[in-house]
Amino acid sequence: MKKIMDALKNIMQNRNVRFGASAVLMTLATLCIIWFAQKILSDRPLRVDLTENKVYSLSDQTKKVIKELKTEVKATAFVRKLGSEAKYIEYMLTELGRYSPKFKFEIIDIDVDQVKWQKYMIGEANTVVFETGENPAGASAEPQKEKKAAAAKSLPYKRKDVKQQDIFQSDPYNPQKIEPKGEQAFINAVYSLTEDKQRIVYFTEGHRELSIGQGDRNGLTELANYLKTENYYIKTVKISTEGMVPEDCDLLVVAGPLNPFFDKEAEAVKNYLKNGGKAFFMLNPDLPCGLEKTLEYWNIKLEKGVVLDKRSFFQPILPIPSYKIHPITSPLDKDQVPLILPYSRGISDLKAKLDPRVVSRDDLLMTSESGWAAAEIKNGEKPVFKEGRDVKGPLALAVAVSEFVKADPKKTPASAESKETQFVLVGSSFFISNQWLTQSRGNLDFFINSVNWMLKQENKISIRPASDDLKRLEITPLRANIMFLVLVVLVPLAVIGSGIFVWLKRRAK
Amino acid sequence: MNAIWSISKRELRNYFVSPIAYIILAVFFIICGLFGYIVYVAKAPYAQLVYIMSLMTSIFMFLSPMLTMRLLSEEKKQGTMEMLYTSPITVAEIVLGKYLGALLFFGVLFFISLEFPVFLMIYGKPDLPAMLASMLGFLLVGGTLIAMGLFASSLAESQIVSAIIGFALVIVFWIMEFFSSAVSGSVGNWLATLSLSKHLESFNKGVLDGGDIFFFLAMSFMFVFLTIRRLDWKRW
Repeated sequence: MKKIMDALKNIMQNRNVRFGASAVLMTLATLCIIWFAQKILSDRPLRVDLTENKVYSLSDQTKKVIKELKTEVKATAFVRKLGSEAKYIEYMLTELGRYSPKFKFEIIDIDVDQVKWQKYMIGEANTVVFETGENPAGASAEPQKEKKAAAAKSLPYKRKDVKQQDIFQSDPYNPQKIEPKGEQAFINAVYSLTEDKQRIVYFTEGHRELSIGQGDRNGLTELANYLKTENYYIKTVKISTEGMVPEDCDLLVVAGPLNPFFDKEAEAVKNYLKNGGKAFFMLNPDLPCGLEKTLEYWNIKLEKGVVLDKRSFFQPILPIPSYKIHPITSPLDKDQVPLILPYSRGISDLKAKLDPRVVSRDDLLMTSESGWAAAEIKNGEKPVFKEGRDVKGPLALAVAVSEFVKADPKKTPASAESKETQFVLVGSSFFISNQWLTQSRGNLDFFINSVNWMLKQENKISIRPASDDLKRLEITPLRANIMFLVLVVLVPLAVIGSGIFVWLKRRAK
Repeated sequence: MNAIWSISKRELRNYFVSPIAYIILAVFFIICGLFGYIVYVAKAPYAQLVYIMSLMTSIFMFLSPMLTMRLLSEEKKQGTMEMLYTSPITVAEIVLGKYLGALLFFGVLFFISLEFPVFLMIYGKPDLPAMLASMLGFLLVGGTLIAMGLFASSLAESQIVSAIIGFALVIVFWIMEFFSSAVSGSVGNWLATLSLSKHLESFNKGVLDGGDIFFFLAMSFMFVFLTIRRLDWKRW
């Protein structure tokens, strides 16, 4: 034993061992400090989001919804605490909790508290359970005080589970890329708990409209996902088969029909609207949609030709309209969020007298003074405005129409109260396609704000969780040449030239 | 402090009287220039600095061992290290001076690379604060890579060996996140926190994260400290 101790003493006195050991200890200490610091900072993150759109911060809409909570909402996250998913979930819930004392949350490590996990009957990790009211099964995330319990008893119990695949979604264009979408998923859960009724949105079919089931650039899958996020239930309808707009329809969406509606279908849409219906029309230029007469009933005229606007940052055929004052557009106008309306048509009014009806029509989006509708665009030729043939701007590209209609007291004597017909008409359909929705942030906000305005969901009218806007560079052939000359030729040559100069100078010495 | 400054100035001068600085700068800007031109003109004409910053970081990752390999190896090989040891300058001052010299060279490289943001600002409207965050990330990761290279340079007399060790170190810390996924539990979690690429993500997104800034500063400190310990050991 003594020999071993002496040998150890000799080893410890060795200079190499001492230096080596101190270096190893110092390295380990630094690595541990880094790990602890990361842990502390992940609990209380010191983050500054410098992006212009605050892409990595909670959106105005989310803050608004949480701040305006009338009932207490509890979120219980069942996670494996070591995973990065758990950190993200905890971060999002902490951020949400900052905006209202009525939003409570608890993080349960399923490896530690298996009892609670089983009580809630959760199948997989990284699931967040949102609840309002008192859980009748007693699986409450936190023990309620008596007072609170008494108050909660008056509220019906509601529960919504948000699973891992709702929080971490893969990019449809790049399935390898997983994007955290917790903000949308959590807000959707809050909506579904706090709203009285889930509204149903019908998309018309049968006229080669843009489809909610189509995942390519011309499809509407992105839009459908966002509508679900706002707690809308989405269905499709073939009016020609049904013979009418379904009775449970809260909003009818007509997304760029390439084939016209039959007269009977148009009549069914008109009757639906006249009875206080809501609709969102998106109509392509230079194509008969079959709804012209229906729109004329509300004094709307669809202009011929494709709108061109020289002031567009991109091409004239991709106008970036200005916002007119309206509840739909005000949040977008305030934050100067750009909106692109590709391949659009102008909208004007018939100037017909509608007395005694009172119809309010508001322009929402307008071209600039230099915008006009070209009746003819020939391939390879620059379109030129021709008086009499083309329509001079500025042109309205989107309008909102409202009319109060009195219900027929003979038919429905019990509920003879007035209803409000409302529709939004946009002279473009591609602006809500997957391609444009991902490229231009304002397009989505405009559509959803319009839907929320018509369905009286004003608390939802705002700016949605942002995604990174890609701002295009204006590169002309001359600019490209300058770029090549500077980046590829001049700068490397200057470096090599300096090297040769120094070498020659030293050689001369 | 004066000693550190004198050593760093001498190092910077040494860079520019040897062909290595010009080779590094020329290789760096030819690749970045070509890539930048292709990306911004043909592939993705968007005012996003992150495209070029990611490439600049990757190229500098390969070039940094070349930049740092001679810092201490050359002194050892030429026998001038003994002179430095016997001078009144402390080991810490020698190491910090050399580190600062390499950082100043990196500063020159960074300054020239500002050509990219300048182009983006002339040809488009980039998100300026996000762009600054991305540039800060490049500066911090550059400082860490140089510290790693400096430590590698203290381990061998041969510059080639130093460069290989430096490169291995950089690669290991760069793909640490990949290793961490193979190890479960808290060890895997701990390994993931040491990944250089993971800590660079938030800068490239345009977010300044206190944890990430701390990580790069702590890693730089650790490797500079290890270099000092290594030279101290050799000195006595």
